[in-house]
Order: sequence, then C-alpha cells, then structure tokens
Amino acid sequence: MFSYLLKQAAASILVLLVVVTITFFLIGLAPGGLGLLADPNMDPEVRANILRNLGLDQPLHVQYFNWMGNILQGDLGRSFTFNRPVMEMILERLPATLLLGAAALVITIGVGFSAGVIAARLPNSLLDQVLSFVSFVLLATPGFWLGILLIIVFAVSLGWLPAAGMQTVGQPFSVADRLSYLVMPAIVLAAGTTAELMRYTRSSWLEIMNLDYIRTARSKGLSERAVHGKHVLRNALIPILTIFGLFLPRLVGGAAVTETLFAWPGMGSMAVAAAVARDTPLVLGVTIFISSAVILSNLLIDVLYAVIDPRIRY
Amino acid sequence: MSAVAQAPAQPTGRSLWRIFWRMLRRNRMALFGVVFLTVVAALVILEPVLPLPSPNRIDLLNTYAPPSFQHLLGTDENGRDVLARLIAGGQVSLAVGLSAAVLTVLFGAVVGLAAGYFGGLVDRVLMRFTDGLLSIPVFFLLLAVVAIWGGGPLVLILALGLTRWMGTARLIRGEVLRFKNMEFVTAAQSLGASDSRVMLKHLLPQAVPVLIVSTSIGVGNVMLYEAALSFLGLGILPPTPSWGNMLTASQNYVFNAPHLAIYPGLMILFSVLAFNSLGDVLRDAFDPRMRSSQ
Repeated sequence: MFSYLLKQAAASILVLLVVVTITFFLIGLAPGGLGLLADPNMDPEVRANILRNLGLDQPLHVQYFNWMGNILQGDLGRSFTFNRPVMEMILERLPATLLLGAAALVITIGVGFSAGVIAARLPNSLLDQVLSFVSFVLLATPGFWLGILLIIVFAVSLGWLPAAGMQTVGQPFSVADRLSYLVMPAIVLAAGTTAELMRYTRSSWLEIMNLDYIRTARSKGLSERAVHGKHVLRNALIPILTIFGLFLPRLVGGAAVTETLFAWPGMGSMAVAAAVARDTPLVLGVTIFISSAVILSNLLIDVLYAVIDPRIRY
Repeated sequence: MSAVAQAPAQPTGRSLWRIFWRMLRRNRMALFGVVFLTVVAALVILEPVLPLPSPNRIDLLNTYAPPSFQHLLGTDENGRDVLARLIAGGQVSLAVGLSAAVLTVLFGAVVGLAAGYFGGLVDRVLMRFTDGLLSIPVFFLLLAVVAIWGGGPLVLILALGLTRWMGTARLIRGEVLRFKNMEFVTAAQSLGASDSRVMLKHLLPQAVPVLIVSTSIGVGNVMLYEAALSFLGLGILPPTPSWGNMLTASQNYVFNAPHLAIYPGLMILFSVLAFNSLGDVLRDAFDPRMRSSQ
C-alpha cells in the first residue's frame, strides 16, 4: 500500500517541479523588470547593486540552478520586494489562511453534505428542486462578485459586518470580533465547493440507494434510519473523499481572490501582491509551499480511503 | 451548438437536432440560456453599428448618471456609458472564454487520445502528469505569469488554455478506452490504418459528444477565471472593458451607484449559467447514459 501511495506522491512532486520550472523561466524571460527597478531616475550604481544583491545579474539558468538548489534543501529563498526569507513570510501569513480555509471547509461539509443528503432523501420534492437550483446558480456565480454583493448588503447598507481585515483596530482580540470578520470571506470561499459537494452527495447517495446491499439491508428488516445512517452514509463517503482532494487546490486558489477582496491578511492576498510586484521567489515559494501541503493531504485522503472502505487495498 | 444543428438527420426520425430541441424545451434554464446568449451574441457582433456612445469616452461632468435616453443604463465613475461598456466587455469576455475553452479541449483531446490509445507507459506518464497538475493550485502561477506577461486577451487565452485541460483529457481517455477494443477499430487496424489515422478518423469522432459538452461547460469555467483575474487587475487591463474588470473597486461606489456592481456580475452569472445548462442539455441529448456519470 505504501509503495503505491509513495509513487503517487512522487509523481505529484515531479509534476510540481516541472510546473515550477516552466513558471520560473516564463517569469524570467518576460519583458520588463522588477517593479522595484521601475524608477527611471535610479542611479545606475544603485540599480546594479540591487541586481547583484538579488542575484539577478547572473544568467537566467544560473539563477535557476541556485534557486532550485536552495529549494531542494528546504530554503525557499528571499523575497525581492521585502528582502526577507520567503519561508518566514509564509509562516507569518499561514494562520490567517488556515483559519479562513478551515472555516470554508466546515461550511462546505456542514452545509454542502447535509443539503445533499436532504435532497437525496426527498428526491424531486420542492425542497430538492430549490436546493438544486440554488447550487446550480452558485456554481456559476463568480466568488468575488458574491463577495461584493455581500459587502454591499451586510457591510455598507446594513452595517452589520466589517468589510475588510481580520480584527478591529485598537480592540483586544475576541472571538466574536474575529468571527464577524471571518463570516463573509468564509461564505464566499465556500460557496462554489458547497454547491458542488451538495450535487455530488445527492447523486452518489441516490446511486447507492439502488444497489443490492441496500435492498438486502431493507429486506432483513432494518429501519430506514439504520439503512441511511449506516449503510448508505458509509458508502457515500467514498466518492465524496475523492472530490475532497480536488477541492483543496480550488479552495486555495479561491483564497487568493477572496483574501484580496476582503483584505484578509493571508497567503493568498500576499501571493496576489507578489504576482503584481513580479516577486518571483515569493510567488513560487507560496505555490511550492501550498502544493506540498495539498500533495500531503491527498496522501492522507488515500490512506483514509482504505480506512473507510475495506474493499480498497493498494 | 451549431455543430449539433448541422448533424445530418438520422433515418430513425429522431434526429439529434430534434432530441436536442425536446431536451431544451424541457429545461427552462437552458432555454433561457440559449435566448440570453443569442441576444448577447447579437449585441456583441453588432456593436460597431449600434447607436451607442464610445465605451471609453470619459465625461467627468456626468458621472454616476441615472439611466436616461442618452445612457440607457446610466454612466460609471468616469462618466462612461455603462451599456456600451457592458457590450464591449462582452466582446472581450466571450471571445476569451470561447477561445480558451476551445484550446483546453484541443489539449485535452490530444492528451486523452494518446493516453487512451497507446496505453501502457504513455498512459501512465500522461495520466500521472494530468493528476499531478490537478493537485497543484496553479492559480497562483497563473497570477504570476499573467501579471508578468502583461495580461491581455492573448496571454489569458494561452494561460487558461494550458492550465484547464485536465478534466477533458480524462473524459476523452475514458471514451477512447470504451471504444478502442471494438470491432471497427480492430478492422481499421487490420486493414493497415496508421495509429494517427485510427485515432483521428475512428476514435476522435466517437468522442465528439464529449468534446462538445466539454467545450460548453469549459466556456463557463474559463469565463469565471478570466473574470477573477481581470477583477484582480491582472487579466484584461483597463481601459479595455471586460465584465471582470468593470467590477474592480465597484464596492467603493456603492453609495453613488450600486448598479455598477450589479450589471457586469449579472452578465457573468447569466453567461456561465447559460453555458453550463447548455452543456447539460447537450450531454442528455447526446447520450442518456452520460447523465448518471456526472
């Protein structure tokens, strides 16, 4: 089992290295330079100094091998714009992103899964139709636009929730305060995945209900509650785990937009700012960091498969 | 859409076209989508001859104007005509969405065909790569590359086309696996047809339904990414309007003109809804079996 899982993870890491390398050269070969050097009146000597300090005076392939060599030793390099270690900056921003991501996951599972089960228990009812309509619309809604609408309604018009940031300035930390800042970005981040999980749960639940072992469970006299709560639930979890692995990169990508919109001080908004500033080590560092986390969690999901479903053996 | 329309009628009397219409009439959302897309396409194509103000004409004495005969949907923060900008933005957003979706389907078809047909090592390498790419949040890299190459339609089309093909590749591979051991393929092979001929002439046509459905759903998917990138100020750059960049900072104008935040978003929402529901209808029309797999 472990050799299979390790192979899968190794493939992901290899793909990551390839993608990161392509990106490195795509960025390096682009016309124009660092935002830092945009000032046309800059003293040429100062300019040369900056380039030398950042290692940018060397040919691109030398830069690449230096950078990749450091990565392989676990050093993500230094940010061009902040001249600080990338790892340090990531760890600083990590808690905010984790909080937002965890909140979005809770919403996705809590709302998406239960709505899917409800819809599957009452197929073709009015409630089912409403839920499927809502999820269809949510899947087509740009997350940032949903965020703008929420800001207009709840922050600007009603004044119930703060529109930006993570904490009221000058106030000591309190859970209620943090939650008031968290609620809108978390909903926005979770909207798409919630809708998708709902649709997925509904269809896989309905599919399992038609299988033989469910009929067996019913015919041996089990109550509906036992049939659904034990037999269907456990089997419905398997395909749901699968799309979970696909949700993680999407949640992370969505965090870039959501964090920027709500000025949430996480890794996503940092990566957007770094992309705009052409801060190559920072952008690539964030990507490598997050991708490694996603690859690790996919490994974990694969292990969970085997735990949930004894039929699965690697 | 039109590919279906031109499919030759089958002698059974139930042509694909008629099945499609029947499915479409049953699905109100898709019917609305087709009407919406037709109207938007007409407006977008006829834009040069429509009696509208220039989308980029700034009129600082007439900002946030309410709807009037001169400006049917009012003006924005720079006094530009909102309707003209919506239509011009539609040109960009739809063109980028359609081209990038076609590109993703092309890449996906090549990878899927090769993986499914050759099998073995080719399949393993290609599919590992596909799955690996699915497990990496490429959005940040997309941000960086698009930011550095300066945005614009061409960069966006290439960037999105190169990073969103994985789903299609897997679908096409599945189709190829379904058909590649059937008699007509074996027959072609034993008559001496080359690999590329078998793939392009015999297997690819079997995958056309999947290709069309993927394109329709892909347009919606890609449009959402284009909108997000443009919203962040990295995709389509001002002054060129796109539905995404018309929303940049729109939450700041809420007191003056809440409608500025509504219209472009609705256009994105309706377009994506239309393409998604159209994809669903096409899938049902092509193959009832495909319904349960999604």
